[in-house]
Amino acid sequence: MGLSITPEAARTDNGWEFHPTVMSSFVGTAASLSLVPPSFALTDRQFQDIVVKGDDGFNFPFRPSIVFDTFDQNRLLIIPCLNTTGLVTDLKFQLIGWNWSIGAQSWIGTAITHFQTARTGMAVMSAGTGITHPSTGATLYKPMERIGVTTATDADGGVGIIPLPKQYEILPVEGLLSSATTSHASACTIVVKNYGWTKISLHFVVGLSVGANVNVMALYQRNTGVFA
Amino acid sequence: MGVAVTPSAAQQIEWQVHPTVVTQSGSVAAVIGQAVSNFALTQAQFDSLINGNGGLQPTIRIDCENAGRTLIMPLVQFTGSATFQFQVLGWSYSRPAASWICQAVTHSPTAVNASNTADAGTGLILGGVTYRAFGLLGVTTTSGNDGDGGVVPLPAHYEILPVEGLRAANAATLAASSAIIQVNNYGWRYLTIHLRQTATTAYTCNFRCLYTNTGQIFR
Repeated sequence: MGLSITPEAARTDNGWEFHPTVMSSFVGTAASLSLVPPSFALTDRQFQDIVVKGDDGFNFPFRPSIVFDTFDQNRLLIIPCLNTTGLVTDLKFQLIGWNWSIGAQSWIGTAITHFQTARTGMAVMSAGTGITHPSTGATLYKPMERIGVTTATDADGGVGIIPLPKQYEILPVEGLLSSATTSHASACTIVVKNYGWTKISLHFVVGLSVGANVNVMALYQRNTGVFA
Repeated sequence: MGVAVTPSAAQQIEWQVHPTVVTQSGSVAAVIGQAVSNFALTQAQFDSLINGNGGLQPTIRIDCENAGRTLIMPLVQFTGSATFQFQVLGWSYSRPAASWICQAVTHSPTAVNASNTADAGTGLILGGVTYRAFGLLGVTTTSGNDGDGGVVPLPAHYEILPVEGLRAANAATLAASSAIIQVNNYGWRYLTIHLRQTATTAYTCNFRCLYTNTGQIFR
């Protein structure tokens, strides 16, 4: 006789959290909002300074990455949110998973997402009025309208929606588009299946048509459920 | 009545430095280290392949017994200009055949790594040698996005996670990161990794890897 197993249901008690780190920078041509790690292998001091604090030793303010602690977490959900008064002409994100290697005495970074595509046009952002972050007052942040599509016109399953590797999902590829007056505001979410990373860092590249300030923050939630 | 199962949390990985280094110099396209002469090797032949002797280089062998998954990060130091191809072989011993039988884990290996222009940052120093990870694995072009035609569809037993680390084109704006191979273990006792390069001028090469075994299951 076989054993019938009913896996634990999806957990529903993990609320969305604000990540305390906000990345802010004045941007013109496309540039990283955080410091760029110089290598996939960093000493602990380099990791703390460059990735976590964003301290390059001579510039102020610091330019940190948004670093999530994913120890013992099976899934990480991220809603990246952006604020700018400029017209976004280039928008890319990258998630990197980090693990400490005793043998190499280094934090080893592996790319989780690759050659990231995100729909731009944030100045006419379609996902509603936005949300404020507790540490930045009345600044309104908006989630991306689309992640992981190559064209603006594709529906679910259209050819412009890019197939993804198994270790991450984008849920969904489409938030609210320019159909703002008839469809409901919604956010694009990145789902990372944790392949064993203890920390995951979020990096952003933004380019504007005219120089302006850009702020990026993230809502996130972590859970231990298993999803097929 | 169902049984409630609480799956274990994500198993944290610890990257191990594989002790084997394959060193080679030359000036033409060639396999780095030994080429495997047959899919079935006697114990003596297999030992010679792994250990090297008589001027032969050793082969990187990863013990994957009882490991559900093996993650491999190939690392290369290369003076010269080349593109690379890699292959992972899975080995199990056959008692009736009195041989180690190997199967290709990866196929039609493609790897893009302009190691002389450092796709993956400044590298990792091991034993005084600076190694660089691959910028791209499993792609046929350097310009493909996620899911583009340049990204090679993969069989079920291995994944490339992800196909892109840091590419030269992104070096100024995106974070350095490495491309790694994930092998879903179909029952192999050992994995060996092999590298081929396409240099047409003089080069020296050191080839090794970081790896980790886990028992974690992903659907």
